[in-house]
Amino acid sequence: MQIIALKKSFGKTAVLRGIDLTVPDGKVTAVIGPSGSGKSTLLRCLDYLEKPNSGRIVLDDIVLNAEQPHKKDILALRRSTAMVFQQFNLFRGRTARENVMEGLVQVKRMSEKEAGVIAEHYLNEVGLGSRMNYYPRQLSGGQQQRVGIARALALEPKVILLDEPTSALDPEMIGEVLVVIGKQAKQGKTMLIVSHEMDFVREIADEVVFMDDGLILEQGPPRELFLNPVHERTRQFLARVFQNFDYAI
Amino acid sequence: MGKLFDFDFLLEAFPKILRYLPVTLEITFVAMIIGLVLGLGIALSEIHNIPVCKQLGQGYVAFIRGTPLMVLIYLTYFGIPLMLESLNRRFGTGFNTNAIPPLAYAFVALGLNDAAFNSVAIRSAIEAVDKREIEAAHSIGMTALQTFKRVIAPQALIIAVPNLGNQIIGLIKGTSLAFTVSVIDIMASARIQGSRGMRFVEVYIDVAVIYWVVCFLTGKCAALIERRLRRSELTAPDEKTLEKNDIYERNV
Repeated sequence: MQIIALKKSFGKTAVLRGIDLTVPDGKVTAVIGPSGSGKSTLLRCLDYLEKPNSGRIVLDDIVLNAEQPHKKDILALRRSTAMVFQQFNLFRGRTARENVMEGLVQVKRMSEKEAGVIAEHYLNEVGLGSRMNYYPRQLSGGQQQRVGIARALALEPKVILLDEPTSALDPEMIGEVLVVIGKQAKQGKTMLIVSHEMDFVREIADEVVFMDDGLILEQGPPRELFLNPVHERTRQFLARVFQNFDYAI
Repeated sequence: MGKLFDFDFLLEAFPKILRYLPVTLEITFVAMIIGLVLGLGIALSEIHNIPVCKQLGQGYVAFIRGTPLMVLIYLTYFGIPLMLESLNRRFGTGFNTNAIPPLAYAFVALGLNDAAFNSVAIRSAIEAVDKREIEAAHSIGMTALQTFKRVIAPQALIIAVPNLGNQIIGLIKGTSLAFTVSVIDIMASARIQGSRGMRFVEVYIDVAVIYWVVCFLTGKCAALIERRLRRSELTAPDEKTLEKNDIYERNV
């Protein structure tokens, strides 16, 4: 996936001021940065949940030009990506299983039976085999987010977009969700993840992107970016995040 | 001196009045359909900001809200023939305004009135649907129509049902004005029976009982529908679900 000169502003506030980024296949790319730097907006633009003002998004043969977006391209882009939301965004009137099946039946036009089998496979994959028929409100936050991840995985998207998937969770539930994401990362799924879990990012990301004030300031493999940040802003941010960080490895 | 209150007369008139209940229900049903379809149209044009339609809708709602139903009924009763007549004169069309049955005026007037109030209920219900679920639907690649059918409509319906139920009750009661345009419904029939025996309190008690029962049942229906639709939001999984889980867990 390639993002070219992507810009987005809300009214007069420029949130993305020209983002160029390549998300390599089969790799995990993590976006970090202070709040308000435009990380989430970037991700949401890639699924066209926010309307970018200019720039292009290229995914294989789909080219979405933000200035003249075609309905067909928007739909194609959304169908080749999947989003895991901060607030899970599950369909509350549907069980875990139905949540995963929804896209398969409605969008991929599978039969209920086929979709059911796939849904069960992916719910097992995220450790929720015994909660298939529970409604979202009967599940804990961590479980709900794992349903959200199963829903994204089941669509077999080219890129999985994860928008702060653990920010809305209680501390004791963060672990179970990160384990699930980590497992998928190791299987070679293409992911773009916005996260504040620095230890996790350091462990699973192949590439880390530091964003500040609507721009990408720096990018590199986690070891380099975390240990030898070039940019002053990156250093400040990391120093604040890793206040008790032990640099001895 | 005769009796002040004739209970026998009340009982005697009751079946005669009840015989016209189908007319009352027919007006309610047809007006409800007109009201729902038109109301949904107005609501959608406002939500999707469709130019012209939106302004027309808003003006329409404002007008109906500020006009008594009785006035509206008279306006349709005298206005529609006038309009048709002017068409006849201008284009030589041959509408026979005398052939329009009174019922038709009742359908139109009550339907138009209902549409305005329904549109408000429908719009607020659609706007109350969880935006996060709509985003989720978009993110998995659903089209706008699929999103409406699968996510927006089912939730909006749950929110709208209590309000729409009240609307229908209002509509049922509103049909009692149809007698003014010479429709013979239960209200008109009560008036006829009353003047026949010169006993009015008796027949109006009859008619009150009928309206009350119909409205009561309608309210119950709305509550039942709402509960059915909310099924999935109950806290505990229902027994069938639990059973499936037990079977699953035993097999694992």
